[in-house]
Amino acid sequence: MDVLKIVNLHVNVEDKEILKGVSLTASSGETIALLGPNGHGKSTLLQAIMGNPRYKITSGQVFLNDQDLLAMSVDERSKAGLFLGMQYPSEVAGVVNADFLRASINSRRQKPLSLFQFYRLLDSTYKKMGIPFEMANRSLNVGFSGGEKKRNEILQMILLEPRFALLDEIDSGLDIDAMTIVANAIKEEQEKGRGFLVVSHYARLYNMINLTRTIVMVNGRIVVEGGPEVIQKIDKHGYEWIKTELSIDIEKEDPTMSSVSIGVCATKEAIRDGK
Amino acid sequence: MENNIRQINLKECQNQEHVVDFNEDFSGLEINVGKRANLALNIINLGIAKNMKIVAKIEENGEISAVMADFSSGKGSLDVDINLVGINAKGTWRLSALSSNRDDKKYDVHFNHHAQNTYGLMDNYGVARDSSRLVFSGANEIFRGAKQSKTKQNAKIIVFDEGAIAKANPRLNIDENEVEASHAAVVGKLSDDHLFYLMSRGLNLNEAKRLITYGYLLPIANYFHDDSLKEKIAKIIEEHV
Repeated sequence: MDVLKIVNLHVNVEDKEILKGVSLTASSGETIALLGPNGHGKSTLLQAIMGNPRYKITSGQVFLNDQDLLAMSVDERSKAGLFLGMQYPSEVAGVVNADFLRASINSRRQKPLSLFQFYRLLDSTYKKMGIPFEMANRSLNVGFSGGEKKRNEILQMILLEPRFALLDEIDSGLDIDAMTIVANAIKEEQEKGRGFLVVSHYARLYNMINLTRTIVMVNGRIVVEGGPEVIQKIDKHGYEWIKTELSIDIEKEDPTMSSVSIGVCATKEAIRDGK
Repeated sequence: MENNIRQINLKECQNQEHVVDFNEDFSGLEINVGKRANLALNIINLGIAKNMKIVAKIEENGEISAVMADFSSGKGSLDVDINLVGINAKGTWRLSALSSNRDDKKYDVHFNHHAQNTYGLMDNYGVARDSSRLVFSGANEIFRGAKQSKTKQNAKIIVFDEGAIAKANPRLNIDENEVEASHAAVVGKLSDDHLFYLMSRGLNLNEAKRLITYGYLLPIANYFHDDSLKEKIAKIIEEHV
């Protein structure tokens, strides 16, 4: 069994402390739903675990089994079995999907896949994800719709066979058919015993996959742990009840931050649009 | 031999493809594209950098499409003048250049629109590595009388290493109304987001850089007509990155 262990993690983004001591242990076979208002640290947690250099870890530890993830480079973390399905996957002009996927798969293999094996694997995975195979020869995510990018993320997850997959709003931009495809793909991977940490704002995706736990992050800390009932409650009532029931003041997003802050889902969109 | 000028002359309605290798012994190229003639010019510079000048004159309804792959090393400069002198004359210039080590490479490309409804497109792409210097200057000029002309200039350089120097100097001179003109110039380092994305899939930093650079330089090969030349360019890019 694999264990992902996060111990008292503090993370800064551009000198602002976003995560203020997050501890969480996840085991293989578990699927944890991670909810919380925008700007309260969900993406930051995922990005920091994966090793995005924009997210500065000021204290705390992250282990995958007995490996110290924070001492490892991003590619080493990937090879150790971590996967991050990104909220805004990069568009990389000129880098052909198929070349990129082949390099990614071979990066974790002793003996590289033969071209024949690779294309057979690619073909079946593209079919599973309902993506036209021609996309394999296009530039990575360039000109893809939001939904196509998200499907391409799940496609990569399937190909890379991680121990733990961190999925950041993988359901945004998906129509209901695409959502079903993504949910089915996740369920299939769940059956293989992988662990999942899934960020979403919507009950819809959560209802389609098998959850073991639900956690809620507010003000850079985990404040609620529970079962699926927490999701239904948030879906119906939002986050205001946390304020009254737990007497936690929910910090509003700092408007002066919104044009520069990274790691806040709503503001990242603004940055992207500005590029 | 210096001052050795080579000529390419296309008479009315002629269509030709020419491969020009800068390694050969000449220092200038004079091109004349006659009325309704069409020249596809494939230029390679894969050896030692040198100083070179290209002057082209495009007559009524004539067209030149020039593409250049420059992976030479050393110190060199290239001046290109594309003169669109006849109505509806058309010119495109695409360059992919790499500078490494202590290379010092300069490109100065001019499109001169002298007649009505002429079209010019300039795309300069470069990668500057190590302690090299790479400069793209571009000037698109629309002269009086060249109404309805369109001209466009793009320059993009990726600065790979701290010690490399890259500059893009775009210029538009417009002396007529009812024209379209635009330019874009980007000089920057490899995107951290792109590198993180690729590395998060298991590629190490060098592999990620290599894949991005390869993908950035390789598309130039597609503009070459000759398959063996295409392969040669792809191979050289692969060796370099």
